[in-house]
Amino acid sequence: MTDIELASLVQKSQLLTEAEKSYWATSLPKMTPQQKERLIAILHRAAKIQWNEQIQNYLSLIGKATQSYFRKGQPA
Amino acid sequence: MTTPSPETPRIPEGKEQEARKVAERIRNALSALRSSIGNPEQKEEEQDQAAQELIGALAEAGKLEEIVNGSAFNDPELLELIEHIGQESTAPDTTAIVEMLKEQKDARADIDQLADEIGAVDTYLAGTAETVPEKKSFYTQISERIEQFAAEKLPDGAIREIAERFKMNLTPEQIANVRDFIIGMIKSFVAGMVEKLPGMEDTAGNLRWDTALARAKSPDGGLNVQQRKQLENPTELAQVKSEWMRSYKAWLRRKKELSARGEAFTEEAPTVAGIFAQREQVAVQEAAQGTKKLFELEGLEQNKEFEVTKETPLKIEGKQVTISKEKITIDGKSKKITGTVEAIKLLAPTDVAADLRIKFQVAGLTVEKKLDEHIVKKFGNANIQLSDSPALALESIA
Repeated sequence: MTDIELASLVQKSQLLTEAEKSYWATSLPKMTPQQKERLIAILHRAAKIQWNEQIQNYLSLIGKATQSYFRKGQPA
Repeated sequence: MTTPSPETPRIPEGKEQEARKVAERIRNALSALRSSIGNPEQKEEEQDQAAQELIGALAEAGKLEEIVNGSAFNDPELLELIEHIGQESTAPDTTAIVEMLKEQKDARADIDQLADEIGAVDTYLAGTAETVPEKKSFYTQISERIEQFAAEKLPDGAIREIAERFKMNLTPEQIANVRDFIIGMIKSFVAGMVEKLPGMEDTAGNLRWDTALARAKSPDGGLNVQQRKQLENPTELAQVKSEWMRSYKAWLRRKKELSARGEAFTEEAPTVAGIFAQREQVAVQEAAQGTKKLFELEGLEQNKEFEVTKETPLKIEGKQVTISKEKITIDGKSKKITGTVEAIKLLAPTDVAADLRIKFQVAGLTVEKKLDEHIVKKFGNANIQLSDSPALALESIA
């Protein structure tokens, strides 16, 4: 994986905060190949975790349902 | 869970059956929503339907208004429903979410370790580790993620737009109330999951504390003016939180013990109001045992002004006296309470035009007396110092 691809992986990760994304993006040039491999492995593993997705779904459901209710003006 | 206060029945007479129907509908809707969240195979339309049913039921039960005005966290029924989301330990869907949380925690530990290693190299090479981002607790990471999602999914504009369709013109504060409530629901939900993981008491406790604090600060949160002010003081807040966390961990232990035995656990999670009530109880017990002087105010700052809840004109010893939040004025001259008994005697109500009470708190004990009793009978010649701390306030009951 190139540094550009790894940077993209960092940016897409739901594991990292914005500050951490920035940190890892700037740290890539000085990281050893082994460290990069570890980072890739962690991010890939984290990407498979559905927790963020589940929470997002939950919030999305609440938000959508609230909007839907107010649009209709009556209980669903 | 919480039961309504006997003095303030929530269900009007003759409406019990209707209320039960609504409550049942909410429970069913919430149960369906919980199932849908944990089941990725379920179609989006079905998820929407479950969520819509929930919101519809909440609205029918008159809960949306509470969400907007910020008092939702003090509705016992609504709290029970929120609690219900994260409580069912045996459901396969919640087990899956617990596993996800564990994986997330492990991944965080790994990436933090990698950052530490790289940071150590940074420190060695550049003599500084400033570029390493601040390591955050698992709670902070979860909390920030939830709040980030809430901001993305429910931006101000979207909330306002929804409200306008209903001819509701929300203030920024009301918009924040809506978002805070949604965040609170999710945090409670996640806390219920996290509690199932070993060694996660602090994370779960912090998530629940957020909701407990929101509840305490909301209208009818069960706190008096002084207690609310105490929560605005970072030192006091930290102390209350610490006491609450101890109480929470004991609660969690009892919950796990009963759960392990397969018994139902219905005890309400600790509340901030409960912590203040405990403090008062302890102070009363200590005073009764003679181990603590009821009016001892040692160590409190002197030469400060009282705080009163509103401007109160009255006559004292033939002088026109006005007590306001900022000062006490006597015959047009501002008077600073010097923090001595004599200063209190100045308020002796020889000709009181308004019925006043003095209310203050010592060592967690709230004392409320009419001025005459307070001054003549209680203080007398005692060597008492006064304080401007949140402990002391004058309140008109005229």
